[in-house]
Amino acid sequence: MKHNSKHHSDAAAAFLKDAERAKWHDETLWFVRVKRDQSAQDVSGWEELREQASQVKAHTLSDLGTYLKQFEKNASLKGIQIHWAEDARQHNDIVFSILNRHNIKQVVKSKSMLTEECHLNQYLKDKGVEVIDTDLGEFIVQLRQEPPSHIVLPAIHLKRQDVSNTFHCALQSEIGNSDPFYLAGYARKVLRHKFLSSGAAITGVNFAVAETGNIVVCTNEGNADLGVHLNKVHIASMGIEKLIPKTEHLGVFLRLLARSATGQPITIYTSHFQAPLPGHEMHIILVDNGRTKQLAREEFRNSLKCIRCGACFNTCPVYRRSGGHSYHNTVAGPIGSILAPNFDMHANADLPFASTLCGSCTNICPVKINIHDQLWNWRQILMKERYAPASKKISMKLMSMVLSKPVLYKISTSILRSILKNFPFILNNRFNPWFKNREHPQPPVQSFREWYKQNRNHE
Amino acid sequence: MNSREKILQDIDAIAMGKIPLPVFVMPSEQSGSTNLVSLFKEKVQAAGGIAHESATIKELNEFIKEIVDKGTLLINAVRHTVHYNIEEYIHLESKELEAVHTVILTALMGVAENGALWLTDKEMGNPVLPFICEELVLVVRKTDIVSNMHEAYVKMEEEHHSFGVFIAGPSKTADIEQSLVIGAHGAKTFHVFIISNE
Repeated sequence: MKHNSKHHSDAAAAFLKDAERAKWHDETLWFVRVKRDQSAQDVSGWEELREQASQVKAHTLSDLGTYLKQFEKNASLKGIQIHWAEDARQHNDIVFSILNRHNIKQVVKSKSMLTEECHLNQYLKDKGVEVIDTDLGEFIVQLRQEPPSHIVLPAIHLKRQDVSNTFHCALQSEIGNSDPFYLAGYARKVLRHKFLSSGAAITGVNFAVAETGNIVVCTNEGNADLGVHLNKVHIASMGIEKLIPKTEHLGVFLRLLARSATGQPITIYTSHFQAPLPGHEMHIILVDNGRTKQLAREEFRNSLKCIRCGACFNTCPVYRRSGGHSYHNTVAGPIGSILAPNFDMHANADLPFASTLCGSCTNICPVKINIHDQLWNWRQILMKERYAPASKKISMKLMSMVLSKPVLYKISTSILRSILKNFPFILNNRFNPWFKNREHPQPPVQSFREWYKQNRNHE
Repeated sequence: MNSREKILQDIDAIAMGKIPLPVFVMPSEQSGSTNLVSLFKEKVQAAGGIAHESATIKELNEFIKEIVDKGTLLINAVRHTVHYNIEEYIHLESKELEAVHTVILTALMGVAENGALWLTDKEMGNPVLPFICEELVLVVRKTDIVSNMHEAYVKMEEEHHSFGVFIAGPSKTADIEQSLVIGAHGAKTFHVFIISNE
């Protein structure tokens, strides 16, 4: 699915035009954040868990080659076929070649952000293979021909009426019936038919265990399992950073994942795919697609610890008020903003600036990625490489000059106070971007300097 | 050079200091099996399941008989219970099992912190069964309930399965305007029988 190429702030402005809907989006996502908090408080030793998870991932990344080879060996011993893909195109080619060998024309797919990243659906469609996204949220956005706006809650930007209209147009459901129970039940029937008539299942991978060659997939709907067990061919696509060393580490990550994502103590289904059944095929595609490049960037290596929980989205005040589609990237939100520039610095130069650097993302991340530090680091690089607008550079230089020269500072602030007091309309108008959604403060009667000068003899 | 070599070479070329694997210390939790069972039951119910605590095989058999009386298709893989019939279905293709209404399976353990139950394809007969049915019934021994996921992975035996799963409730989705709907693609109803005295 092609993303729009609007600058984040323009896309966000468009999103915010519908103020009521934007407010609803904001509140809905914040509510998910609150559920995460309640769930985290339920776990004694939550912070120790985060630290454990962070260190396990950091360790794994620091020895990634060893673990990849170990995973490949152990998986192969059980009859799993391992494939390696340097980039999206190779990944897609591998998927197609497996399907083509079996003459499969219809596949069901459970949630995989990696396959979104590789634009697999369009690729397969062009080659005459129908792909049906079976996660209900992904199914909805697929019917609407738009990308998911959140990695865990793909249709969070839609209201029930939107879903009802989409289902009516595409599936002939009852017009105007927007009861979620009815709509989900309708989708169940439609998708059950697709599960039964497909030739293969494609899944993502939440965790790949090097010690055993097993993969773990977490869902609430059971769509990954239905797909895999109703078909003889299972293709699992995974980014190379999804590895963890041992089975025991699953305990750590599985206690963190669902709680961080939705506030549930665990997803309804935590499926451990270990080996193909007799007569079945199981394939795992290990995908690089820019990950080794990010791994080489010391400042941004930690971003590869991500377990795709989406908690940073839910807490981010900018994401909540701009929506996933404003980020023109498969993965949106704070984590998306530190992953995307690695792919394409020019196209994604706006994303690290789509942040107030409040740090809430870093605070909530279950694997302790220092997201807001990396957002700042990217800004330095982008400014240096001139991908960021010149106006920002100029205004920063000006501000730096004023703040570092006491006389200039005194004059500037005195003028500012005078304007605020006597000619507020100079600042309080639509030409001043800082005036949108803000009121300017009342100017103080005296500046601190003036007050201090006046009062210091009383000490 | 093939892709595998290229990727491994690219990784190898990065000068990274090796970060040590942390030593894991199991968090100390209060236990006492009564607490565990009641916490487990609470979590099963919170996820939309129905927990039958301190059940006996006799009660389970009555439950099974009630279902059979309703006339819907039942597949029961729990040994030593009435209407144990998995053998009749084990040779069928997964897609042929679409019509099953209720599936009854043994779970090897339950996890108190989240109400999840662990079972493998050995307990399932056909791995599609827990997901394709309308109603799923899992049977677990009270003494097989552990405190948390760490303990679960310790307890798990190192047998070779094709497939294992933690199931924590009926299937669900909140993808439509965050409204919770029970019964997405998998089971719509979920029962857990916690068997004591066995």
